[in-house]
Amino acid sequence: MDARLRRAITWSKGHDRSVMYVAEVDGARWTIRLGEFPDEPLYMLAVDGADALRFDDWPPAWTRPE
Amino acid sequence: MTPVRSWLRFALVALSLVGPAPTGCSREQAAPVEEPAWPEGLPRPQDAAEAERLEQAGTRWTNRQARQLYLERVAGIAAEVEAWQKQQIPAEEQARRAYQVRHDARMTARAMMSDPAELAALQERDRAKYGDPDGPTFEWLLERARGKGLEGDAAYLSIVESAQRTDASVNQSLGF
Repeated sequence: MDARLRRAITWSKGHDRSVMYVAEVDGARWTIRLGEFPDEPLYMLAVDGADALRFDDWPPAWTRPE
Repeated sequence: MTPVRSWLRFALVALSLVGPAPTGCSREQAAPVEEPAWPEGLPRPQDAAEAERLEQAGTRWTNRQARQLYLERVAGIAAEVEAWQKQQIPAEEQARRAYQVRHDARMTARAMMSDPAELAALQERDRAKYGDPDGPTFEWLLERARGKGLEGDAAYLSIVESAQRTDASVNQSLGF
């Protein structure tokens, strides 16, 4: 599993419809968008605007608002 | 199915599940993910109704497994199209059949999702994007084809073609 998925991160709700969640990690802005599931992985992680990782299942180490 | 097609089908499913970052983005690359084999004894639902029955009976799939099953079903469309072409099925009928197979696979994958909030988010996005919570309708795809200047059989055959395509990055990596 990618290291970014293993670290504990607390996410907040995104402020616009295209961004589901946001977090500040080591000074960088991390955002989560929805992928075209099931044609694409469910989640797309971007770091400071650059696509970084795609994955399907929410990592247990990450917490997000209800 | 020829050996080449069988290999191609396997490669498309396997590469789609690795989920690489798109080109032109961060140089950080995710460590290669070992794709786990489908767990022995875990059901593969034939359709959304069966997925719902199994889920009510306690079966749980990961989203990754749901997507894996979806990609396997989509990879099988090419062989069906080949058979339809040999049978000289009209283009419109091929398009409707290809669309239905893919749409049914999409609904099955969605029914395999365990988190209702995740499913609701997808449905909300699809409603905004396609006008339908379950994704693009056949009519939406036909309208899009016509919007690209395609008419008649060309429009229907574009739908047949797109029904067989998986993740764009996978296709690019395979030279398509």
